[in-house]
Parts: sequence; C-alpha cells; structure tokens
Amino acid sequence: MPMKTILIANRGEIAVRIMRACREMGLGTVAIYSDVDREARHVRYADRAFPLVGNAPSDTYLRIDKILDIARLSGADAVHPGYGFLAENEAFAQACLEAGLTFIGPTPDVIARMGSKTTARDCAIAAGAPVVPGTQTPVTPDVADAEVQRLADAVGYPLMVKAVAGGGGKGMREVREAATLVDAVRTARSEALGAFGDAAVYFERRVLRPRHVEIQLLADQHGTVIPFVERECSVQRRHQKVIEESPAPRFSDDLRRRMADAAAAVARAAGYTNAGTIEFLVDADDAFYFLEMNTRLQVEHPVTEMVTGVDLVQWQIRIARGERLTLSPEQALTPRGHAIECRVYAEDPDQRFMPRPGRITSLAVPGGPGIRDDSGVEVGFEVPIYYDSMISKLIAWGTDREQARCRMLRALGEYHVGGIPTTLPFFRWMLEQPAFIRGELDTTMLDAELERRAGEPFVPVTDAHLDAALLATASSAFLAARRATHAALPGTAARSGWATAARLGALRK
Amino acid sequence: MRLHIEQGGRVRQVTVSSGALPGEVALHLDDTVLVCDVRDLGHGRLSLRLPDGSMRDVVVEMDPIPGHRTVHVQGVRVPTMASTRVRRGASGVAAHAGPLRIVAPMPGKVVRLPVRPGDRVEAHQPVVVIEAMKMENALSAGRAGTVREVLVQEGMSVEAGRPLVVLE
Repeated sequence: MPMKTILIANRGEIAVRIMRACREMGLGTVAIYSDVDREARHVRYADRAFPLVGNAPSDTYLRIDKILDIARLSGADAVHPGYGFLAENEAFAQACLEAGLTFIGPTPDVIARMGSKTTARDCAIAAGAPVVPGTQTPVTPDVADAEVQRLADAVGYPLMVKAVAGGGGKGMREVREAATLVDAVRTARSEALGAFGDAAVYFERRVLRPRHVEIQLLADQHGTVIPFVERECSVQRRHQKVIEESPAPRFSDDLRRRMADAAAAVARAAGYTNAGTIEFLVDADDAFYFLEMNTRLQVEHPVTEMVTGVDLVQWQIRIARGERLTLSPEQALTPRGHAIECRVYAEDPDQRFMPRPGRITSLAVPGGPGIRDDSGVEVGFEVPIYYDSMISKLIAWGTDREQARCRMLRALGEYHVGGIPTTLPFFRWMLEQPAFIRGELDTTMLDAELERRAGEPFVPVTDAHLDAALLATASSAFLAARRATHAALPGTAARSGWATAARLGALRK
Repeated sequence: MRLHIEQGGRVRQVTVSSGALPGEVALHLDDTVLVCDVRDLGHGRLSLRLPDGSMRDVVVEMDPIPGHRTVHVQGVRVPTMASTRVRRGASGVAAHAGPLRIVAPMPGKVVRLPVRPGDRVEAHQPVVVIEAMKMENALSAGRAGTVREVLVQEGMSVEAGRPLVVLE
C-alpha cells in the first residue's frame, strides 16, 4: 500500500523539519497540537492539524490513544515520531503497527532491546564493540576483600565503584589507586544498602575527560547498514549537548573507519532498521567505548546532512516504505567540508541558563552562504512553558572547520530574537574560546569553565553599545512624540506614502 | 524635546530636534550635537547612521512600564528609561536601598522554599525554586538581606511577575 499521508507525532522545529521532507516528496502532512500550540509554526505549516486538547505533555504529545484517534480520523497511513516524546517508546511503535500504520523507525522489539542500558551493552559486547571495561557480574557483599582487589586490578584505575541498583550518585565512589579500594567499596556498599536495599556494586573504568563521539547510521529492511561520518558532541552543559559538529576535530580516518565498523556491527547484531545513532566515549588515547544507542532521529542530524549531502529524513521515509538503501557507503563516510550546529534555547545565559518562555516580538533569521536555520518559531509566537525550550538550530557549513566557525559567528551576529532572552550570546562567547578554536574538546570542559567564570556576562556591554542605545532611545522617544503630534493634526496623518516617496525622490535628484 | 535617559546606572540629558534633511535627528548631548540619520523600519526596528558613517541596526522594545525600553544593539540588550521630567531617586534599574521583591520571571510551580521569614540570606543564595519547562530554577537574592515575607507556598502555581519573597 503506497504511503500518502504522514502524521507527525511531535511539535516545534523537528515537526517542521519532517513536514518539509514530506512536502518535497509529495506526501501529505498531519500535525497534532496542544492548546498553546494552536498558533505554532508546525501547526500552520501542516496540510491538516488536529487538537490534542490540554497542554501538559502527559495530556497531549505523550497520549498514544489520542494520537492514534487522530491518525484514524485524518486517514494518515504512517507516523513519524521525531525525537523526544514517544520516539523511543516501544508501546507506541507497537500500537501504530497494530492500528495498521507504518511506524517510521525501528521495530518495537529493537526499540526495547536498545533502550535498556544493560541489554544494549550485552548486544554491543556480542557484536565485538568495545565497552567501558568493568566487572561482568555484581560484586555482592559476600565477596572477600582479596577477591574485590583482584577484580578491581583487572578493571584498572582510576575506576568508579557504582551501586548495581544505583542512580543519582548514591553508592558511587571514585577510586584512583589500589590502596583506597577496600574502604571505598565498604562505603559504597553501605550507601547502596541504605539507599536501594541492595549492597551489590560493580566496577567500571573511569574515562577521564572523555569526548562524546557518535555514529549516525541508516539500515534498510533488506540487511544493508550504512554508517556515516562521525559527529562530535562534546560541548555539553550538565550532560546536555549544546554544540555539535561533523567531522570530529582531531580525528583520524583510521579511527573513523574503526568506529563506523563497530557501530555497524552493533546495528546488525540488534537487527536494526531505519535511522539510529550509536554513541561512544573516546578517551585521551583515542580508545573508544560503546555508550548507548538512540533508536530515532537525533537533534543534531543536520550536521551529518550538511557534510554528506544526504537527506536523512527522506531516507527514513523511504526505508519505512521498504525501499533499498542505494547510497554509496563511501559517500556516507567521507565528509565534504565541516558543519557546526548551535542549539538556540529560550534561556538567559547570564542568569545561569534559566528558561525564559514568552512572546517573540521580533525576529531576524540569518542567511547567506553555508547557513541553515531549522527553526520552530516565528514572530508573535509565545514559547510555551510546557515543553523543551529549544527554539531553533543554527547550522553553519564551511570547506573546513575554521570557515564553518567563522560563518557561524557571522550568522550569530545576524540572528536577532526580540521579546525573550536566548542562548545566542553564549554561543558568540563559546565559539571564540581558544580550546574550541583548537578543537580540544571533552564533555567536562564547558561546565568547568562556566563554574570558573561564575556569572560574568557572555557578551560584555561596551561604551559603543551604550552610546548606540542612548541614541536609539532618544530617537525612539522623539519619533513617537512626533507621530503623536502628526496624528493629532488634521490632514497630516493620512499623508500618502506615494507623496512621501515622490518628495524623497525629488531630493535625491 | 528634552529627555532624561537612564541606562547603565547613569542619567544623561539629551535634547532632540529634527535635522535639516528627512530622516535626520539632531541630538544635543553634553556640549556636542550629533546629527544622526534615523530610519524607522517599523515594529521597533531603527536603522541609525552615526555622524562618522557608522551603521547601527537596533530594535527598540517598549516595556510594559511607561518610558522603559529594551534596546537590542549588536546582540546586546540594554535596558533604558526615558522621561521628559527629572525623576526623584533612581528608577527600578539602580535601586539598592529598601525592600527587595523577588518575583517569578516566568510562570511555573513553586517546588521548594528554602528560607523562612527572619532568615539572613547572602547575595546569590537561592530563596525559592520554581519548576518551569520541566527544569528546576533556583531564584536567588540579588543582594544580602533578611527575609521579611514569604508570599507563596510550596506546590503553588505562579504567573510571571508574581512577587514571591520580600527581603529587607
């Protein structure tokens, strides 16, 4: 049965991104929306849109029953989940299939398998992918000290002692050398017992100052898996990616190929289909370890599209309709130039990145060579309080990393969002940091630097800014007063624009 | 037109009049006259051409409080306050003495109130935690002081601008 209409089970920029692909492919689009999203860009962009009623995610974009009702009502024959919300929910994928809809993503069993940290790790080990060295079985309280020492020595130092039942940092201890091990295990066991009622712990090698590098891949329903050139996502604030790029700086072709092979092996072992991403940690010696798999389209997919020329969303749809991957594996793995993405959030970077929802009163979006803006908002839209505060992704492409970086800086200068603060000033600062310019990245650097600079403004206000603001304020007040006077005088308010243009034209002669 | 403009913690006097050519605005500032070419592009957007030819595209947002504006210039937001009369004391921008009200910067839910009336707080110490956009946001005192009043309770939903805690 040919696919004609896709329901996009998401909102914001990613819903718009997917609808653009649908429109390019001649497919119809159905949007869903919460009460506050009625005027949102993704709703107005869609061919048809249907209300979910309510605002909280649990009443709207997470409601499988409502979404399936809308699919039935609208006659959609496929569902694209985007990222976030229900994108990695196997029950949703299953419900779509049972309702006779094509789910644009992997099968429910694969979502379940790769969604669990432990089964995903087992799958990676089975596929021969390196994982962070650690103990294979729990170190239970009856394991004697000598055996504990032997197990830890085999893992290597520094290592982390973690509670098997753990979470939230409880029952977790760093051990830098063998001498402090036994004490650390004793403390971790007692903390774990107190917090989770289970004293079992395990050891995992501590990867110091790791880089986060990931491999995008596409897999069709006929057994072909194509890994793409890597993305570096090491610029993170509190474990959230803020800047991504492709290819990774300081990354050899040999390393790229080994990582891509490992990722493809994991995907094959998992029986993976559609678009997915395998995340790795990379240590200072360029050794890499499987971290997890994301069974969906990623936020940062555009950087891969920019350097390979492949439209990942169109391929997701084509794979879902059963087409064979006809891409050249060499094209997918060979970057053409360099791309950088900044995630623009409605947050005030000068107030510890506090979310600042509100109405966008003015907007100027950058353009020009190498610039792509994947935005979910427009002037007049009120960024709601209920969902993630990302409003746009700005992507810059250049023939090399430095050109991409300079283009991004130029575009950030063109970008204006009025009415609410955004993280744009933070990016102008970040892209000028010496470590970023050199491409010396790791996942801990940004938090450490933010801690150190403690609230200093990202773009300092200079006298030139103040002078311009003074002149602008005076001019604005003066023009407003003059308009008020003109409006009060009969005959002048209705002066024709054509007459004004003619007078200005005469002055130029 | 005579204006008192407050920005960056200081007040300056500016006299504004029309220039000789269309679009020209003459600004008398201290002992100098700056003739700028100012074009109003609508929706608060102004294109300024300074006497030395420097171009400044700015966006002037009118704040809800009369006379208060936020000027966006080269990616920086500068709050300003213009008035045709001299005001006694400083406006909200520079006030340091007297009670300090901590207001909700966004709609959300109060999840924690770590302080009680009578507590002594340091500058930057969190006094109320609000949940909005699925994130917890600690609001801190801008300066040291003593908590005079706590105007909300944990679990309460608050709209933007609602006073939460008063310090003195």
